[in-house]
Amino acid sequence: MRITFKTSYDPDINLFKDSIHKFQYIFLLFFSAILPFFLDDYYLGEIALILIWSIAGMGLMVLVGHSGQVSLGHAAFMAVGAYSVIILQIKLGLPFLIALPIAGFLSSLLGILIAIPTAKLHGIYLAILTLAVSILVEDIIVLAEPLTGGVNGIFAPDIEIFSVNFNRYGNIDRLYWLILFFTTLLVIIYKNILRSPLGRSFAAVRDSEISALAIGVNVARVRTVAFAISCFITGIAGAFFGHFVTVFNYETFNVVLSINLLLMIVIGGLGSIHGAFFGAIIVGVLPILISLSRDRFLDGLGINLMNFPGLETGLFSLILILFILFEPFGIYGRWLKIRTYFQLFPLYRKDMFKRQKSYLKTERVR
Amino acid sequence: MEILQLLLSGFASGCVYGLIALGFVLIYKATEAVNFAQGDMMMFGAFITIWLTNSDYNGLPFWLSVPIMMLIMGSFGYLIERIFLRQVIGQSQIAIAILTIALGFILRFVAGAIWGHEPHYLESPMVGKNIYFYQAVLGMAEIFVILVTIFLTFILYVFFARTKLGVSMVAASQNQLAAFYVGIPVNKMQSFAWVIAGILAGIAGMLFSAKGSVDPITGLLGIKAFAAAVIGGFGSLPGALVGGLIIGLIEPFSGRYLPSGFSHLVPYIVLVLVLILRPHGLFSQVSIKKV
Amino acid sequence: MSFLELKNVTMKFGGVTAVDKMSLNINKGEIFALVGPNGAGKSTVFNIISRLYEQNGGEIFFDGRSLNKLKAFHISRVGIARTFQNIELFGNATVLQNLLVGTNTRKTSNMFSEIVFTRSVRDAEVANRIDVEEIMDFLNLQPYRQKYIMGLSYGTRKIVELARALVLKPKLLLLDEPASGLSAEETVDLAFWIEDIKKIMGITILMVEHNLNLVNKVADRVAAIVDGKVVRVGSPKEVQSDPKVIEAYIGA
Repeated sequence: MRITFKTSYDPDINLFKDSIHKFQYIFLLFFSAILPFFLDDYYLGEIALILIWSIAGMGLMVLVGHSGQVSLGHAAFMAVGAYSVIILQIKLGLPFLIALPIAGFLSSLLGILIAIPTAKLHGIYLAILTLAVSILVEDIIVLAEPLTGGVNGIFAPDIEIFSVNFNRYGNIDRLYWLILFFTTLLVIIYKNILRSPLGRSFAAVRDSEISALAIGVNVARVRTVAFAISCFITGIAGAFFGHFVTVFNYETFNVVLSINLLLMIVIGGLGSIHGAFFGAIIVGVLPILISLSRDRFLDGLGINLMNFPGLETGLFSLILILFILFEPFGIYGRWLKIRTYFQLFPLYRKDMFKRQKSYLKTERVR
Repeated sequence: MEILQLLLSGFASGCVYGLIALGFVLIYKATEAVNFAQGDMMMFGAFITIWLTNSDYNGLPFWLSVPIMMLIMGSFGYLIERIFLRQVIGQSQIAIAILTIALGFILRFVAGAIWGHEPHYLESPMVGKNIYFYQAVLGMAEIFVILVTIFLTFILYVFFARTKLGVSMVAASQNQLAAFYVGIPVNKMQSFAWVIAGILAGIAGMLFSAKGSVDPITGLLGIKAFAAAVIGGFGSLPGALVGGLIIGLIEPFSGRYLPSGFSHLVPYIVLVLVLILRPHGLFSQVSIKKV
Repeated sequence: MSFLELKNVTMKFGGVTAVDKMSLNINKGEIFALVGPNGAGKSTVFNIISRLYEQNGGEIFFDGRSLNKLKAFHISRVGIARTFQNIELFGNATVLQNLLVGTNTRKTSNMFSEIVFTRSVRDAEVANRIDVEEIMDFLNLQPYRQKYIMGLSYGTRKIVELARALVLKPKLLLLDEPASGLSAEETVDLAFWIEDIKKIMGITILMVEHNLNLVNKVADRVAAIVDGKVVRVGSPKEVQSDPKVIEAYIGA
């Protein structure tokens, strides 16, 4: 157990509690940065994909975990990011570094357009609305064929930054570093939001709208800002996803992806940045585990998993159900408990974490 | 005469949407949870009917397989409530919604694993039979769907208005605490709502399979049923049916009169517009949260 | 000119008139209590003043300006803070975070400087923290600083809610049943705090309270409200001995 003596308010405001904490994360970043020297291209690609899912997860987390608005349509915002970053490069010849933030802003614009008229919608109603938006965007992509390539899809050009080439197949290590850089940047931005007045007003809107109003939080505006930030980040994730898969069409960003994104952050643990990463790791690692177990054991037993499409989602859903039943705080919640157990050993009490059941409030009209 | 055909097919699919929406509303009223798996339960009911009836599988007569299917789906709804939903009482609506979404995914996977992903057709007595009415060709299957729904609506009405169990369910849905105090077993009422929702999903699935093909992703139809439930106000049983009919009628007419590609956007646009303009449905009044 | 003035305020819910042409004057620096049976419309008055409800008729003036045009989230900026009958705190946040939200009204930074977390944002945060710590000292909340609201007792939550209202540095404080659910001991503490809030911080207080001991102890003036109407205004003693008030309580 570590005890820090505080002599000023700064440690409470800093990104890291203390130097050990800081060292842990710098080590993690360093470790991630040197991965390309150890891993082969396949696994590096998978990890790059996990990072992309983490970015998307962070985007959704801002909305669901922190401002308490549930979206079942975030694939739509990924789609806007992916399509616009590529269309901006192909049709307008913009360089990637300019197209990327514009793609983010376009995605965030769609978010704002949805958030403003729906400022009064809550919980389940907002979830259903965003679900419908996700389907609509899918169809609009097909209809906007001249821009999007319609059903046939669109090809992503290689990313060029100052004539350095980043390609999924040619030099995945560079692409990985690029994604890692932006992931780190977004984590810092996210963390800054959380420790500033904006982040607190998110929590206020999430937990009690009435008292948020009473202490001067402009609830409608905060909700819209949350949507804007969330969709910006998700749009960036979409942009990288587009470049990562190199070719995609409307089906890539269908409703099921929208739903999966939400399931992902719930498994990870709502209300924390860690949760987005843990969820993304599950999403990324599960297919690898399935294919490994297929190669190693099941073929020998005569079970052919190829006969079961959708096994990943099925398994994933099962894990999710187990989490909701037994650990509503997700992997991050479990992780906190395990960590506290070891830090306090042998003083840990079983009911130490007994408090509110989940991060989202019931909408019951009293 | 074309209008008549459009009307008929609109009413028929509207009935299916309405029945799924009824399931949503029933569970929502009884437990304050939204069952996102209702569409997938419908798909499952359709597959069970096909599995019982079709000659490739069990080849039971249609009139026998329907009650068996209802029994299976009813117990299925009961089990879902007892095993999963009972555990998460008190958690947020969203957690429960996510739980049911995951259940839906699992149903889809299980259905795909058992029956495969190619479309299935029900060998019902109505297949391919038509009624010729002036120049219009009216499918027997569609007429069957509409008749069954009318009959079912009548039964449900009698159940909720006349039987003790039905009235208790209505009471429990309006004020759980008060219902508990007057001795209504609220827990049992919640289980029972799931049983009825399971049966309704089964019947909706049976009707759906009677008039078209079924595959594991048929359950995504549930999203259109959301539109129906939302139009009806999410708290009203007749509203859900009317909402279903509205969505069902919009589809064939927009398909006929709008350029292709736009037509199946319409139900979702209607859903979005209703949520923005009349979030509590077209027919209901708004309640203010008390502080 | 009184500090807070209600002029013929009326509020109807459907067919029910919760507040009926009510007029009240609250003077600067006093503690004014609303008493009355349940359902008399006391909380509704609070919700109208804090703009959660839009009244059907009448006008409210605070410090010389009309509140009619203001939105709920403007109220704290003109200097009115409130607590709630059923405690509305941010349950998934710590006590410290709850109180810090109260400093948001004074923020000068915009979203982009917060994303970069500039020096000025940091300095403002330290200043906010100092304000919050002062209030926590005043209400003895330091032991709970990093505790989550969910884990706190009812009484402590009530105090946290009071603290959060004080962080807003209001000129007028609306307390909706501050003593309900508190133990006798906590109520005694509360009485001292309420008096200190008036004397030391110079804040005018309007409160709804059923606990007549507390009302007698702290209130300068009392208004008895029955069926949305003011029956009697006066000192606590006068109001409690008024036959009309007694009748309303005992039930005619």
